[in-house]
Amino acid sequence: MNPGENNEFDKQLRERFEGFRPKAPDGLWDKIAAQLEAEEPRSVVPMRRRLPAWWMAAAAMLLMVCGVLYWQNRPVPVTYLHVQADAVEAPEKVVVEPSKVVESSKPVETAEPVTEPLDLERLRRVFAKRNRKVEEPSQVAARERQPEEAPAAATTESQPLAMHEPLTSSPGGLLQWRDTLESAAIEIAGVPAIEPLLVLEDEEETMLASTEATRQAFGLSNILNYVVGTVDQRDEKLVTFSNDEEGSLKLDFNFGLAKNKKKKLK
Amino acid sequence: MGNRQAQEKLYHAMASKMLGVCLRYARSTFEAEDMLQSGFIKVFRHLDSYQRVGSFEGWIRRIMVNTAIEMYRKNQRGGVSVEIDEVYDDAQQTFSMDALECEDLLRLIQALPHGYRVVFNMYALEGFSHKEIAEALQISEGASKSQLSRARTWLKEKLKQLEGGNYESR
Repeated sequence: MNPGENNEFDKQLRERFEGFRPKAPDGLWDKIAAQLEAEEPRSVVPMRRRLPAWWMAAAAMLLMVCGVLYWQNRPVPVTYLHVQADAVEAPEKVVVEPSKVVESSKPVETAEPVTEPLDLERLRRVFAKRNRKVEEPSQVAARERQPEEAPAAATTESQPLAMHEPLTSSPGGLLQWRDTLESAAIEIAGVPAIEPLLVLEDEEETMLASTEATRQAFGLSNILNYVVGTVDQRDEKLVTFSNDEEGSLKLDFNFGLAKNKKKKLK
Repeated sequence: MGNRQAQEKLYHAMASKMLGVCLRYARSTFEAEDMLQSGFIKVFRHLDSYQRVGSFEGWIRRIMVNTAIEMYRKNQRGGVSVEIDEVYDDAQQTFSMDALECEDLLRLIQALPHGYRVVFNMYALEGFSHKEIAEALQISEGASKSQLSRARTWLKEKLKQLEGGNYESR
């Protein structure tokens, strides 16, 4: 077969197929469009983005709720002892700082020992208590637990001392001062129950503050327990949080629940 | 979606002509439609890579032929090959293709063994050289020439038989 004849054969075939237009099947475009749709990444990405956004919103809401609850039940500052002492009349201030009382009361005793003879005994009682406290610092905490004794002592100590304070400034008009002091004593007696006014060292105050913080109704352990409770719906939780006496956070695991879970999985 | 509508327009403009190409390379209409679908997916996926060198129709046609070659290679891994037993090198008689419909010619081409058909299509109908065919099909140039010669001779023989049959039926 010569090349010219072959070329003619190929040419004839080419010409015949040049105008060959078979009908494309119906529905083939739909298949192509569906395949293109599936291959495009846009259909996949939103699904991936939706879940984290949803979870992020839920986590943000949970954090906000916890924050608001914590803020509402935040720990009250312990400085209320000083605040209450300031709120009371001037005589109580003298009790808060007994060293000044000692200095200021000495000239009073020498100036007028007859007018108030009981003051000396009460002052001795105050000093005796103070000395006892220095010797036995651990008893301060016990005194804090028995507040019913402290207010009485504070009021009884404060009244006579308050009566001595102005006398040092004006030793002349004793009678007038006596009247005013008596009226002041009546007013002071009318003051409602005052918080125990204790003379505390700095360390003791911080100790009391820490014990107060551990008694908070909504501390860190409560928040953690609340979060665990939202996840673990069972009556007994796998993990529970609590605070010990020193205020440290404690973790308690319920291993019985973990064992049961493993058995169920098997 | 505007992009999808444009793709659909392009598909409807070119689908019929490209199906004619695919049918020549495929063993069946089903295979040709599968080829056409894969070819158009490639066209839309690589539309940005069209360099505007040469005609757009030629670029799409080339993608269809490449798709046909890929499918041929996949089928080759299956190890199915049919050899033409009888080759008549002395087929010198002339015949006319005018009396035959395109569908009849297509049926003859589809009846060729798979490798022969691809080589014949690429050389005789697409205009590839034996070197290009050898590289595309990963065969030697000699094998390409041999398969083309055998395919061409087999087709001429079948056309002669058809013409004789038609003549006899008249």
